[in-house]
Amino acid sequence: MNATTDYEFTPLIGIDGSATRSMDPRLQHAMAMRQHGELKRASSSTSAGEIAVIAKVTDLAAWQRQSDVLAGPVIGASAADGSILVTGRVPVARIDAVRSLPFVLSMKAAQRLSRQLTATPGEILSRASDLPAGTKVKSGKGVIVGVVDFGCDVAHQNLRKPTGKTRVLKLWDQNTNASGEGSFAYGQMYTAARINAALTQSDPYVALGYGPDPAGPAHGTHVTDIAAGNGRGTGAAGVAPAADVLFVEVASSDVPWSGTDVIGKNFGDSVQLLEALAWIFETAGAKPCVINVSLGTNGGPHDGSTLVEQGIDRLVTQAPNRAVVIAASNSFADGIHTAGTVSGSGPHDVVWSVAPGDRTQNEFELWYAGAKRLSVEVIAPDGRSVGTLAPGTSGTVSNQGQVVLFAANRLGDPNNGDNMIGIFLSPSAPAGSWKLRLSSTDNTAVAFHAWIERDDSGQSTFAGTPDNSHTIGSISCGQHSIVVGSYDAHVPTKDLSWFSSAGPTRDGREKPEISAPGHNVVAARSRSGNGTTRMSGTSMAAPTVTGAIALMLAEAKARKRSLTIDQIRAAVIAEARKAPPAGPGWDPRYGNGRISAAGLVKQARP
Amino acid sequence: MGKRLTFDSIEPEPSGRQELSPSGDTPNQSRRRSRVIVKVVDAGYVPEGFELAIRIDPTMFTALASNDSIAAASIDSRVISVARSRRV
Repeated sequence: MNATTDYEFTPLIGIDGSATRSMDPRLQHAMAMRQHGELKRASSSTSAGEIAVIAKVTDLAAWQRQSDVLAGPVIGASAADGSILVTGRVPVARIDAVRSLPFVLSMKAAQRLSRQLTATPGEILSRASDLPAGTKVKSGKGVIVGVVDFGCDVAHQNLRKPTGKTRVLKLWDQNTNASGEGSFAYGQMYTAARINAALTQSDPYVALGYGPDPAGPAHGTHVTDIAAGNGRGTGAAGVAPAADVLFVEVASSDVPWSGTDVIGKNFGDSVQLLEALAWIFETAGAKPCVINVSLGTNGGPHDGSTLVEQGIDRLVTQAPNRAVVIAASNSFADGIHTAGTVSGSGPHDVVWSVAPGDRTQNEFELWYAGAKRLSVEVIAPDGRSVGTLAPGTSGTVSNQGQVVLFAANRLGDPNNGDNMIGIFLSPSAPAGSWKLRLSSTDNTAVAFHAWIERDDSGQSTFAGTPDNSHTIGSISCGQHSIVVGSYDAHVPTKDLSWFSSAGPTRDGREKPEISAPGHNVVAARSRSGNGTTRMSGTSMAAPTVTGAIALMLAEAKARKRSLTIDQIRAAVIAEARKAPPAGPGWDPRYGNGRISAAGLVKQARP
Repeated sequence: MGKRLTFDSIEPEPSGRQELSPSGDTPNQSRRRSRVIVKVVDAGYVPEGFELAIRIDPTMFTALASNDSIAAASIDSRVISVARSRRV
């Protein structure tokens, strides 16, 4: 008999950090897999990270309105006790939250469901019939839609002309070991001629040497289709179906962290993102160009001062008829933000929870005013102090030559003058509640904001009641970018998506500017020829706005008008539709309201 | 109870012109070259040891630079800020 192996039991953790309630074992299994960093793959009826369920509920309307539930059919008639059987799809991350709703009597993993059709163009008034009378160009013709993302299926019919040739003018794969072109001297450039030659072959991906990941539906294909797909394959066009496309497969090769599974596949690199934007605008030349960026993470000062945000601001203000649209982020319900004030008379504890079984690196950032001073004592989950960092110091905890923890209490950011406390926990750091004890060293009160970096394979959280404000992404706080939240266009009430991050920025500016349909959006699926897949996220909302701005730029071009980024942003805000959001002002998640493509086209006129 | 975790040592954190992001880099990575974004005072200025990649405008560009060069730039009065790559 072989020697026995000791296996560690890992308790299942619910949405609020507590133990989960009694639940269908298959749902518990899905939660456990997620807790260990295993993302549930997309199926023919579910998106990645989502599970199909059957539930017994007492309030059908409430179930159907629930933002984190894609409601399916009602099964049969009401029972004698008034309960109703329903099906639906629920993100694995929300199983515990949905199961705990008072009107959900039971919930089990269930059968697959059929797809829904997208309602995006009708909702945002981008169909030709929705545009103002006298509109000269109704399809984005003459405008470049740039997309910086992961995976573009150039063979999908929605990205091809009626002749079968590609609508992608050029594609830059930053990951390939080649020499690029001009000053963009790395990666591989694929011209339309090269793509067209490949499209005549039986396997265009092999012929081209570039293709979307066979294991997934490809985020980039879906995003591009929403902004600019022509519906040739799927029968449902995107927002600007005659725009030309430039695509950059953004690299994640230069992020200076190490360790297996530390870097998720769906992360790019901020420097190469900026280079991608510069390449798209340079390649577009004098043509109007709007670029979609459905990327982002949580760490950063959230005041628009990072150099990548400053760089984006500079690019869009250098020439007219340019815009960059960025997804707000999907972190509203992730417990990744906290804020408070350290009094001048005693310490203030921030508790950072790392779930058992988390095999990923975890990162924390706290920002406060440059004139103030905080010390931080790091207290491990076993209750023992690791040590205290005075302002302007850093420290490393190592074990057998490996860094377990790195912390820096740094002063004077060169971009905004503020101070930052950053802490890295390696995958070998113990799980549990890390206590960060903050003290004002000059006995004056110190206000702060803190974030935990995005981690799709094991998100750590702040303990206690979540502060879901200020959850927009790390690159979504610039002065001139246009940032987009998500709502569900499939319900009459246009409810917010449960995940859609909230503003404002740390310096109090009103972002996101706008919101758009990003919930259960059906659009092109990679390697399907003409198929679709359903995805949810602000990643899907942003290209809706990108397409709407393309329609505006096309109309302005037809009328020989140039639009500055300030004019474009002002139009997006001025034409935002209300109800929802309620009231006349800015909403932290809807922004100024819901995008109106027809309104933007109207604003393109003199 | 397991081994107690304590800081190996606590060092002064140099104030400089690097955008604040905890790196965890160790000294033996000093010659590793990274992609960075650089903002400078004088139009056209490129600090020594920085290989210009893409120019955003006269005072901002992307570059390749070693950790040693980035450290040197942090005390260069003509450099406003250097930002390393971050995940996005």
